[in-house]
Amino acid sequence: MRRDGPLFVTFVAALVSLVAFFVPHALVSGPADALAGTAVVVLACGFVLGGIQLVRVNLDAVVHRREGWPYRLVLVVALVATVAAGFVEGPGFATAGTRSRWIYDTVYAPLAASILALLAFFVVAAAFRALRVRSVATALLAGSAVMVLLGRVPLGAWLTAALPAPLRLPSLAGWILDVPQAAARRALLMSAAVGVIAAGFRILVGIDRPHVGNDDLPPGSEGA
Amino acid sequence: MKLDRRWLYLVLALLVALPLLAPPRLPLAASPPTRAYRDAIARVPHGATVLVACDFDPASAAELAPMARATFHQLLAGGCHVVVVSLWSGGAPLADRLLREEAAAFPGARDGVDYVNLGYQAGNEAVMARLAGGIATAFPADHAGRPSRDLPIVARARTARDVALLVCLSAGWPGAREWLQQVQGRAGIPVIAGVTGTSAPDLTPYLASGQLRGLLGGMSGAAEYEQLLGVAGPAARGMGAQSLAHAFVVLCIVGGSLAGLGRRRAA
Repeated sequence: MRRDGPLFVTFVAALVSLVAFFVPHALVSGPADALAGTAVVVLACGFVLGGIQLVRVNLDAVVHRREGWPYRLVLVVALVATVAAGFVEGPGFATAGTRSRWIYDTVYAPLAASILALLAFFVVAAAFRALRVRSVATALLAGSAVMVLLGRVPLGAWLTAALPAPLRLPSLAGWILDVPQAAARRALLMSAAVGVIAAGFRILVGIDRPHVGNDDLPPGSEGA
Repeated sequence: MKLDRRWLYLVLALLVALPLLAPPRLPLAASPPTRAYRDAIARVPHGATVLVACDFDPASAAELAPMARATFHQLLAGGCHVVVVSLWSGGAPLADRLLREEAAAFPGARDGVDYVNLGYQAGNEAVMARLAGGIATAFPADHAGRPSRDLPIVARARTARDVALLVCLSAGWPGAREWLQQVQGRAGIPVIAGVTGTSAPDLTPYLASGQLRGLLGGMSGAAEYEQLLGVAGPAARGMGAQSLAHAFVVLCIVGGSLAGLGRRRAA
């Protein structure tokens, strides 16, 4: 019963959600909407639990002066300050002129943008070291990369403006993206979808049950 | 001789910075997916409601903020009612700023009546699924904390089926693909998307199937869209920097290959 109950709940919840996708009748869509609402609440609770766990783990490391403790202290202080600012301001805490918005505009936004901007430098270093032509396959890869890189920016059109239209870099880049790339992407999408259907069906009928634990294992061995 | 990678970094920094200071004039031709994106918005009737999902954060703002800005401009200029939502926690304040800045150019546009930012909601695909049941159910309060049910713009379009067009501006998961799967399939509303350059190839099969009516890919897509609208936006100004950066990456590929060839011959 300890395992059958959760399996039954999983079966009913999954079946209702699945049927609601195809049958828009209120008898089905009502319960499905309630289930989706429950999922939203559970996810929101997950944020709270995650936040508490984050503070607990990092505060413990700070107290015991573990490696990198100053960074952990910054993390805890930033987290607590941001949450406190939000609580003080209440609903609408992220609108213009609030403390939360100030934190967002002056700390979070520049940091997030700067970290992603660093990617450009890694791409250049990787292009120089990793994308080297060593064989026919790597030549095809590098050739495609060159055509798409130049074909997707105005410089590519400018460089090849004198050539016939099908041989210009934007046309070649478009062909690579629309034909071989799209074909490979479609195959990946279809195979992934078939895999998801199979995995979903196994959970629906209880063949896969990672969410209910394993009664066959001796107590205490699950985390081993 | 081994090349110190910091030289590469320095050259790249200069190639990006200089064209931003003095933008060069480069030819820019709009691709068919960009034209389709513009046309899909142009076909929305005056007074109809358009749902704009801003699923990105400041990390991808360089590519997606110009798209959002130009999209809000075209929608508000066409007299559409704009409802903005975000499933990325970092997206709502950014979308709020962009929406308000564009709305300020239209003195007749009123917050809560002609446009609204319903803010962030946790729940990813579950929130998308709930939109079919009701916009106010999925987003009970707007970004400013006002109850959504009390807003005239939400009262006019109660569910996703009452929306004339869904615009997905997304940088990853959850994003345009999930909106297509969860909302386009259920509500059957037309969908267009603006995404980062790296995720645009993910959506080409949906574009070919007709599930996606138009697509802006990366900063070049945003620049093409700005040009179609006749707007002097930040994406068009950034195309010089992006062109030179791409050209430098190509040079690195060629240079790295030649260096590797020379080393193999010497060995």
